[in-house]
Amino acid sequence: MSQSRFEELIHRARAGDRSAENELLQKCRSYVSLIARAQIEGWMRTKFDASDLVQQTLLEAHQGLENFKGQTEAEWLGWLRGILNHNTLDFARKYQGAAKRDVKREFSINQTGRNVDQSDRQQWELKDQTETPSRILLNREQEILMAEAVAQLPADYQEVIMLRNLQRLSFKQVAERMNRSPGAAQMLWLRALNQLQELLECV
Amino acid sequence: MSIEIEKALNPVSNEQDDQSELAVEVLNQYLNYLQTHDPESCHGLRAVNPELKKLMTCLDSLERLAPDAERSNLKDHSSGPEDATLLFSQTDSGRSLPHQTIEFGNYELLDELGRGGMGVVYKARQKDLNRIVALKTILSNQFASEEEVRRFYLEAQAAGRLQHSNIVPIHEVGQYLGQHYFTMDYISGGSLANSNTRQLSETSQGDFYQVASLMLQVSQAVQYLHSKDIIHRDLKPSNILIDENGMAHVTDFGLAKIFDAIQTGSEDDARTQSGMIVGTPGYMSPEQAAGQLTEISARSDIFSLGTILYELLTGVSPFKQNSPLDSLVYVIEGEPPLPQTHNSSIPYQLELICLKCLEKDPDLRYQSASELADDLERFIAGEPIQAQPAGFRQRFQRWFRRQPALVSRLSAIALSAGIIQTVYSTQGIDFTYHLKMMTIFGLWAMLALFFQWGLDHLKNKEKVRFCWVAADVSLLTGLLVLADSPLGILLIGYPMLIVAAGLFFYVRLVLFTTVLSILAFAVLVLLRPELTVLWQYPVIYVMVLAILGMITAYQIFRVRVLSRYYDLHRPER
Repeated sequence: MSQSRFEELIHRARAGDRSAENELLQKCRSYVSLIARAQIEGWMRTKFDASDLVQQTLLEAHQGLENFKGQTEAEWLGWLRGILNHNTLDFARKYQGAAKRDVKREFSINQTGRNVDQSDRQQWELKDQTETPSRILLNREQEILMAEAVAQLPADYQEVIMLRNLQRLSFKQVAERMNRSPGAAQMLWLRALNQLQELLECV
Repeated sequence: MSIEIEKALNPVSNEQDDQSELAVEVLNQYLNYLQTHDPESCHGLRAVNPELKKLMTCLDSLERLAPDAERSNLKDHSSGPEDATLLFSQTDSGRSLPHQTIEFGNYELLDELGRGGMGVVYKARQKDLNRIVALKTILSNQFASEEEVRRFYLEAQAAGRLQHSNIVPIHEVGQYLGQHYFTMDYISGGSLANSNTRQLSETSQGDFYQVASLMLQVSQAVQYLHSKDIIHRDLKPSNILIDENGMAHVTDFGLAKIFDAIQTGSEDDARTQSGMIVGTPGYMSPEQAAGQLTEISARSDIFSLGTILYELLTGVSPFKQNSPLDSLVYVIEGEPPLPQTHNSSIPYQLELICLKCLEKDPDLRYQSASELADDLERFIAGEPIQAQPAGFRQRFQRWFRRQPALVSRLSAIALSAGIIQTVYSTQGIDFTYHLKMMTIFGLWAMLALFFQWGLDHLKNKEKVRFCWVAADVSLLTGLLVLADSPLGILLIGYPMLIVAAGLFFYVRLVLFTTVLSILAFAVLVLLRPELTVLWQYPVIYVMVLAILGMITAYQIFRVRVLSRYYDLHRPER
């Protein structure tokens, strides 16, 4: 998947090509899923099935596509991340039950795309800009490929990568969470990394 | 997949077990550096562990996927503060890591004291002896091979045997996770570069004796190094540490020489480029700046001592310029203003000592650090010093180095005026013609003096240079308009101005001069119809002028690129 291929997909999807849009969203599924899990699991400190959140995010992306103004891969992923963040945050609120729900926000989640008012537009555009400059400069294609590769790993490999790399836990904490000795967790991590690297080389 | 990692995957024997344990340790350390945003250390680990490069690349892209704490607007949107803090607690703790102590083998890194191209210096606690030391890491990209690492250890161990009350002792060399380091005494007072200079420049007479006694200690330490056949090569204020009793301690000695030996030993390697010039522009001697490695001797250190003394006396570094290239050029051919022009209360004898250290020709400097120490001691004791005031020739040379633009113009004007005067006296041409020519020459000389004054006193030196060049071109054109036919050979003046403008090393100045010269020549062609007898000649002349300007500008551009490269790969800041 080259940069221009990806941008072509974005272009066609924005022009209303359903199959292109579908392909675009499917390509990003692993990416969205991985980031969602990293955020939620880091916060809940336990495993979490993020498929609902991913579904929700991709659905909103589909519904709100006409509001996406960017052209590049980086802008697209930044936009997706923006929608995802907003969903994970909502999920966190619901889960804690501490805060009252923002009615307006709920409206915007369910109605985006069908009933877009001006304030909603601005909200999406604001999300669009949440990217830090350093992120935008990086090669985003690598991120999608990496997320796909992680998704192909066996479950325990995925978990150790999730804990050590994405949640930035120390090996002592990783070992506790996985019920293994720290040494075993480290060896597992090394094997996971090796397999990841092989998967990436095959692409 | 490399063999190394195959082994790691199938741990059969103990040795292979160790291999993969080491790999995990290095990779984990690498990830820690990534997560604490320390690209320099990452780079170091990468360089010493080429077989793990691919896995490190993997870690890089995984890190980019990890949730990012910088998107603060999420916090703004959240209604309850608790969830935001919880949601981001993980990344927050990752970020605060640099403030905690970092384990480094037998040491705990407490604080970063400074960093340079060679590595980072930390304040560290040695765990087994429970003492505070300074720990300097050496970036592994300084080494090209195992052999060089071995030599580094040998030299560092030799340096560890040195003992002098004004030298910072080295305790230990070693490596941890592929990172080479050495430890030395921790001196609490900071270095000359960041502590005392400002106080010393606000002067009372007593302070000058303090400066002299400080320099005396440093000279004695340098003399000791020289007696052990070690040339420091990188003496500068930041390498002279002052303890709480005000005693000076020289540090970082000899290592520059080690690296230098490494660099000259392997000239094919691309790495050598970054270390070609060891030292710090602004404090190194002309022979170092010019890259004449064979010329470097103990007397090069004397020159550096002179720059430090100059800075202590005046508060200004004598050769430091905006870019390293300018500093290098200035060290090689420039001459700083006399110390007394900065501060008239500086004792004449100290100025003489300082200038003798700063002689371009090593033979004219003090021949050893002990000679310098002796003269400083005489100054402190109130006895006459050995350094003599400069003779006429030396003075003229210094003047030329200090104000080259002025001296070269005045010389050219004097020579040309002299020739015209001779012609006038012998052949007796028209008096008004002669008067006009001489007036222009006189005006030219006055303007040169005025612009030199502007360069020395006005803030916007660039503008002064542009105006100066513009004045030169106009006056030359004026002369050519008035001069007797045939002009022919005299047109050499324009190319000369273009090339001379190149001496300032500014691309824009050269292009500006070229354009002006071409315009001036066009005016000249209009006023002097004889030039257009053959119309193609002026056209050729203009094109040659343009090409000449472009070549000169291009040469400067190339040197500037090298300068930028050097700026990025400076061995020591």
